[in-house]
Amino acid sequence: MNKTNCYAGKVLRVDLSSATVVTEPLNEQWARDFIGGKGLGFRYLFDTLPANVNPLSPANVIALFPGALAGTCVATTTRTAVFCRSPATGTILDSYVGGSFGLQLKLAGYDGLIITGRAPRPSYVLVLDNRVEIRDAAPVWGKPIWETDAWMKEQAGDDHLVSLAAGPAGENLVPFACLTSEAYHQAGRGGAGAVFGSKNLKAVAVRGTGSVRVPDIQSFMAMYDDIFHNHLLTDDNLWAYEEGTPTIVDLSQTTGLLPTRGFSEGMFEGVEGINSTAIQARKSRNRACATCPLACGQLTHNTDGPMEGPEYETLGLGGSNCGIDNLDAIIAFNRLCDNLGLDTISTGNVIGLAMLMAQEGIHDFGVHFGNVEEYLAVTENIAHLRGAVAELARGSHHIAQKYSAEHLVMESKGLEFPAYDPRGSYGMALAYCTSDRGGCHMRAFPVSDEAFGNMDPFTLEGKAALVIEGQNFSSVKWTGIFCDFWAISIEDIANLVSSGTGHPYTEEELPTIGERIWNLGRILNVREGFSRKDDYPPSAIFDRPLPAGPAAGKNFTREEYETALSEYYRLRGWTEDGIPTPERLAALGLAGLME
Amino acid sequence: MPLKFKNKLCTGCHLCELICSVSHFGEFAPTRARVRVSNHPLEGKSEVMACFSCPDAPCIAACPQNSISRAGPRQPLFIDPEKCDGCNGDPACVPACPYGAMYFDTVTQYALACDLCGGDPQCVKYCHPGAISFDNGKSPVAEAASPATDSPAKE
Repeated sequence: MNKTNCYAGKVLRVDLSSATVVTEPLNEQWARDFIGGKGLGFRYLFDTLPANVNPLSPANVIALFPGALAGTCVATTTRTAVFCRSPATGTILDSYVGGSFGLQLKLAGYDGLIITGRAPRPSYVLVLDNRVEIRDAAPVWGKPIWETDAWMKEQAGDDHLVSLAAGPAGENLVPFACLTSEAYHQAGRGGAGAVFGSKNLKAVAVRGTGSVRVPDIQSFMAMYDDIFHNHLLTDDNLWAYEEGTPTIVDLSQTTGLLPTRGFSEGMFEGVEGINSTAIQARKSRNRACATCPLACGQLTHNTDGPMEGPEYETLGLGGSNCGIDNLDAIIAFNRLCDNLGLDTISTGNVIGLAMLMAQEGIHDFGVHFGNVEEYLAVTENIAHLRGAVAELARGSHHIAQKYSAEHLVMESKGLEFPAYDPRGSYGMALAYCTSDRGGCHMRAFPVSDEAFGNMDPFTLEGKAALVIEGQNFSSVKWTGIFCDFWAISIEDIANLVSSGTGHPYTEEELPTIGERIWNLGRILNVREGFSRKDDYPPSAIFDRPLPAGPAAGKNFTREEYETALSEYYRLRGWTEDGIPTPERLAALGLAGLME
Repeated sequence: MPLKFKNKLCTGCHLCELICSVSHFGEFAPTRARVRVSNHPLEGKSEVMACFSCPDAPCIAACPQNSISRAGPRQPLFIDPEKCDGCNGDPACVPACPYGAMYFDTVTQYALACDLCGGDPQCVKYCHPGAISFDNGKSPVAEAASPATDSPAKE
């Protein structure tokens, strides 16, 4: 086969119900319009996923799309997007995993893998180039992920096999169950692990021995050599190598937005136990995703063994938010979550909420701030649905409703907040609540301009435009898929994607493609019944200002939020109810995709 | 001088493999690379390996076609494409290498060993963490290099 651009030219479809495997040509028009990763996955999902299916039914779809440039040498682009309807939120879900899974899938010859149906018995999908099999996973059903991965390698007789697997939490349909690849890489948010579990799908394991080409390798490498040495290995990005995300802990502490004790506070007296200095004291080396020189993984350890991390979100939600300042315990928590298949952000949230409920006298689940033994036991029990705390596995939204703790919970659309309290950086409220997958900081990140930058963090004025710009730009970045930690310019994205795909994308055009992708995400969510009514922060944001620190006493009003949300919709070209207008969709090349 | 490896600095990113294959074959194909990374993600460790033209070079004697030669120890191997016939897909040189640093290209059916890119190894330029280094012998640093860092099997 004569491949002329970075696409493999094929999409693999596996139906678990009928045990059929089909390879089809890549839809070239979609590739041109949506590039890869987030965009291409959304487009395929729009076609493959029926509206209003139960996320844990066989009708849900799992799609895996690496970035368009996966398989080339371009840093970070082997990241893979995992798509499905989220069991946590009911929204569309795109969740990203690093490592080298995407590299292997592309080298195996596929731009994407779409999984439908439900296997009659525990199974895993094995992809060895053009040999694709649905295999028996009974020996590892119920087993933790690391053991599962080792078993699949042994079965294949290939140490280079790379898997993406669900743990016991996914099998138990925990709505915040993640997928783990290469031990410490997760498609963390939104519950893709539970969708695997609902399909009797333990894992997808891939090994590719093929190649990836670009149209003109000389000019591609000349361009990349310049970008690599002059735009990537710069101070803007090398913080990731030196310290990685734990460097954010002190930033959040000093700006007073570090989630502490169930988001009841924004500063943590035990911060020195969980900050970058504490991590660096444990660090033995750097670890990387495929192709990435930034190698942001800080390898640490506790007495149980090594850990790549903990990352900032885990230090915040699993640390300060649970009142835990003991790094050994947070590493143990992180290892449990990665191995049992739990998202550390949602898990840290729900445990923190349970601890706060005990403190407030609402309900005592037997977990209390700062108690390490309880904290680690509850994490295991959530994954295995053991004991009285099993109901915590249903997530913060459910717990808050059942026990009348809605005034304490921090989530949007059922997805718990990441570790940037919006009361310390107001734009984050709009970012979380307009995010396509619920409370998420990876679509727009206004805190970097607000509390961590020069903009006033305590106003919503001007933030709608900032959030939209971030969402459109990240939508473009996630087609590559370029990592969040590479502050790549739109010009470099345009040049690399053009050179790789052979289609000339311009700097001016890319933000429009980002907007197209964002609107397609909104179409998918509107189809599931989402509208303005779902785009609001929880009441604590309005009613419970933080008690101390730079954000003490700060909150915006419901009226101010209404104004910002209306402005957001207006700038998006959506109706007052948050529905994309036919005119706007037509202008974005999405005519006819919404009833 | 051959390449030097420091496994402790290897992050497991595979970039050297991609750069190697694109430099030699114009495509990104880790299975055609002359430098390879073995990852042990759970332990957080990796090993990077390429032919460093070891003192004994048992591959030379193992080749039934006498296709492997070198100017001397620590000088890159030369695999004569006119002579190498890939041993019908079961190359004798690959298992003969005690370091697992001899590979086989299933596309061309030739054995693959690091050729130092003719004296300007491309992988080194892209190994920011410094797990692979190269000294062309012209710099005084070459003489000062610790023998410990020469051993590719050690961390």
